[in-house]
Amino acid sequence: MLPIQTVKSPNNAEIICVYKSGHTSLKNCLPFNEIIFRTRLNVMNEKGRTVAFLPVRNPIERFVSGIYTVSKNKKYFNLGVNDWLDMLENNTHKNLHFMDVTTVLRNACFCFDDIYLYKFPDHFEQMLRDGGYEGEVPHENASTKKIVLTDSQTERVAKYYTKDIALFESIKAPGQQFDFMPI
Amino acid sequence: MATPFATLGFGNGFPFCLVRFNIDPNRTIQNEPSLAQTMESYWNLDEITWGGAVLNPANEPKDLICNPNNNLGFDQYVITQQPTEDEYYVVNASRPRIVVDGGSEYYYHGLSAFYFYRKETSTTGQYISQITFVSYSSTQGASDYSNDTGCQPVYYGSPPSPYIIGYTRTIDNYTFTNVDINGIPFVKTVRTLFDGYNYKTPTTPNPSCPNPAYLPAVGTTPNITLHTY
Repeated sequence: MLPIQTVKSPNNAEIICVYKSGHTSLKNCLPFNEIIFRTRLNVMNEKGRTVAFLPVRNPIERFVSGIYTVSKNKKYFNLGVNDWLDMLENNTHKNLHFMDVTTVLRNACFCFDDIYLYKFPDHFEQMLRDGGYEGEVPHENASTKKIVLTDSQTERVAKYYTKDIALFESIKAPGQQFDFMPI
Repeated sequence: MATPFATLGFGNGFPFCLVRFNIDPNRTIQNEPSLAQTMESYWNLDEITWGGAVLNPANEPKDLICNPNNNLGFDQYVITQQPTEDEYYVVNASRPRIVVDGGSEYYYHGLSAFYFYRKETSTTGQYISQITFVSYSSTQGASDYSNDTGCQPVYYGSPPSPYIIGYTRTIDNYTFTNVDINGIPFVKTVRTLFDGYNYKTPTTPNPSCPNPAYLPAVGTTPNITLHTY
């Protein structure tokens, strides 16, 4: 299981860092927390209820943003959208930019008692305010160049992120508590 | 060779204001970079690599004047990702910032790298979880320390007649050392965690306290290449 990285909000809620979902903005306005490792220690040592906020972005938009970001790295210069989709579908390459948020949520369920969901970017400011942050809300790392997917690529992305889409569409209001989902 | 340039910045040597954060709890200032080293790590980063993770932003330093986030990002190289075992490297470039400790301020460059290795082993009467985490980051460290729960009995039943069905022990070790990579100062943190549970089964009727054992720490060091003019 991947470790979970969070930033600490002023009222002690932990905001889970999800790449391409306000990660850079969060790091630029709130302090890091130590990375959380899941062992039985996390589950068994009760230290009061722990609260986490999870930003969830439209998976299609998140994928496009991820492609834009990785394309800035020379390591991936020769890879196009279809190459990334092939690697994701065949599970031949792991990259946190494209990690499905339902996996993050599944891992978070082992580390936190209460988890609240926010759409990114629509609920981003509300998430920070609910965490007690009163400063200016940053908007960092927003890509200016937009990659347009073909219909078939969009279909493949939607299929790959089926569960993420269900999770995203299940959020009806900012701060909706996560109870159960067959993920 | 990068193209030389000149820029005025925001009066601090960067194309943005540095965000200030309080130092993390239980940490002290350690091997902090100078302003010149912080600027070097931001403006002149060409490539940071470790164990197959490679971040090589495709721009020249002068491009950061108008696109200050162009060098930011990370890369991950996964060796194993299984339900009972993960091993991977990450390299990362974030914005520099300022760490506030009491009334004093210290620079914090945004370069970091970490190695993560986790393994869970489950055999009859025994469960063991081990993690080794090696990170290179800026400015914050501590004296070496260890959190050890000691041997903890696990009971079944309620007083007055509970009986012991096993023992757990968790040990979390931290060491902090100063490392310079290509002139950029880092704090190397090595965290080794052992979490064990020996429990009663028909074939292990008398469980003992788990003996701590740790996964090895990676022996290599991240590599940083800087632009020259």
